[in-house]
Amino acid sequence: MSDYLLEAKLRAENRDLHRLTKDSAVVLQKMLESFLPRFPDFTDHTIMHSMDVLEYCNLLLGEKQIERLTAAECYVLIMSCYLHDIGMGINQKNYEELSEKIDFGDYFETHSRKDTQTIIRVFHNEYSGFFICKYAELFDIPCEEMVFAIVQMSRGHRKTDLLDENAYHDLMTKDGIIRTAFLSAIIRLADEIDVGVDRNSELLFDSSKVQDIKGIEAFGTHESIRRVEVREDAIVLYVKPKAPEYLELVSNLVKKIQETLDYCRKVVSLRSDFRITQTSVKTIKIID
Amino acid sequence: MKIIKMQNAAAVTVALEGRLDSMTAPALETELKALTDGALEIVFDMEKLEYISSAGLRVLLSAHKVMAKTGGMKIIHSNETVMDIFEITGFSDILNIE
Repeated sequence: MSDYLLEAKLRAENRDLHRLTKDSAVVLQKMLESFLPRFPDFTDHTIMHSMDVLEYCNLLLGEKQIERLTAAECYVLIMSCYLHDIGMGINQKNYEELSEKIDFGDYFETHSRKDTQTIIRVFHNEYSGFFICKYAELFDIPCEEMVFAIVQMSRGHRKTDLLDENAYHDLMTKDGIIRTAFLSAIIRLADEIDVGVDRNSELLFDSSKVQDIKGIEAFGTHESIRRVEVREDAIVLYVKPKAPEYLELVSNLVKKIQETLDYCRKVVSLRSDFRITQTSVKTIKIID
Repeated sequence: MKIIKMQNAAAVTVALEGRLDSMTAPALETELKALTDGALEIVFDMEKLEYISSAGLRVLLSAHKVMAKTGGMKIIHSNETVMDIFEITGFSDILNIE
């Protein structure tokens, strides 16, 4: 069993850091719901998604590797699971303020959709990073190194180059080392699994109200994957296609998770002495 | 952080000074345990509160839950920094802030 191992390990090693995560969780329940008015569609970024990502981190790491983590690593990993999508729920004032700091590259020259909703969705990992920087005091994050780690791990759940040693280097704190690249790879893979196979959308949204094709396809793909199992050697998706055409969409999703798995395995092996034991993403078709 | 209590027949006013964070929130929690038993309204005067973190918000939320069943609770004189925290955390929708 890997349930709540990270939380249990942190509580056993450092009760003060554990209490900080509990205080943050109480506040974040409400905060993470604030994305819903701006994004009334079918992607879950509530505390339920945070809890799921945390659970996948527990499963991917496994008991023996969690035992090797420092208290600082347990703390920043739990906080990053809670905070990685906080950028999806920023208000207009913070959107305008934080947009000044983000490097959008050539996005505005190369993309036609430039509305606020799209910008936040595409760059939400960057908004998360700057939001955490701005409000680090709110979450009582104990030191600058931990703020930096949580920012980088939250940014790194999407897109960023985890092999960049300047952006993702090891940090020393009084509560132990933080191996930022390794932890970022774990959270990126955990997030990819949960976004792909999200079950919470069925609880949060009414699928009959989906209008656009992309939303219908995404929701149908979620509904076609009935269960996920993280085994020692593989990530297994149990598939019952909602309709035959969803098989191809599920297949595309499997490829996407496999790509992320391959990349994260590479990061973990090159940047730490930990490992991701899972090597492949498999599907098992459920037959009535 | 300083906690100053003033009581009259209808309410207890709790004036907070300084920072309400993980270091100071346990002291407020202890004080409130005694006050919430009295079933009077609690008024938090935040004029001199410089900052409130998630630890402080948790204590307020806990008091709010208890006082909702009895005398009620309200927050007055929040400065801009504290009000910003209430707004971005959504606590402005939960707590009675005047």
